[in-house]
Amino acid sequence: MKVSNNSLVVLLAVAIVASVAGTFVSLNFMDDLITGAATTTGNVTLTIPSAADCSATDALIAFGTMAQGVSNRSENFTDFITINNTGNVALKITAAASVDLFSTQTAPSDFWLIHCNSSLSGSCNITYHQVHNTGSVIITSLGFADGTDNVTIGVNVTIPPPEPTGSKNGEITFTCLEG
Amino acid sequence: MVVLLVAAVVVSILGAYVVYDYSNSYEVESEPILEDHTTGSVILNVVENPDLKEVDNNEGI
Repeated sequence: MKVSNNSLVVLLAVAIVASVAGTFVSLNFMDDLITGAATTTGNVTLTIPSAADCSATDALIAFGTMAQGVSNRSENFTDFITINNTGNVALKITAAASVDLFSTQTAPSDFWLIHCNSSLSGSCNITYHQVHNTGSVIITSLGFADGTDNVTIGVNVTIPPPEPTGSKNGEITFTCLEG
Repeated sequence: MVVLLVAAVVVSILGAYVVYDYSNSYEVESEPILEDHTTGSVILNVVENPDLKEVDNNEGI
């Protein structure tokens, strides 16, 4: 079959135009590299995953100076740990001693107690109980919506009589799970 | 020759359409976060309690 030169020219021109147009369309719609083009619409499908996320907005309770054998608790001077549900699911929060407060008493002991003081939602375990080394439930079903997502946690300490004098620092790790 | 040119045109148009169609539908997905941790601290300063000092009954003997 013989094809005239005119036909070949036309076909080549079409091929070139199609290639260039394809390149422009790709660049324009994928990366917005070409601006100023006519507007168009696109579909974006988003799947928002569940996120059990929490953050201590007030992470410190400072009891000040205490004598051996003396007790004190957060309610007496309004100093609490505050945890915020920063995720998008209701939370179950447990507390565990990650650094012991006293050198003469290892958690769990009656010298270091913890409880849920108040919460904006959920079921708050208000009973003072020992800070466990494996974790105890502080609250369940803490909401995530603004205005429902805070819990305050109180601590009750008694200085063991043989505890050496000096500064003490105990650390509690809060684990936040969906629940 | 003609067949090749026609094929080139078809492939170019088809490729452009595929890219256009794909770019119009992005799907973004990530893994759920199942657990998180945060910490709190308790600090205090222990001083000696004079009331707890042992009485030395042998004092003065």
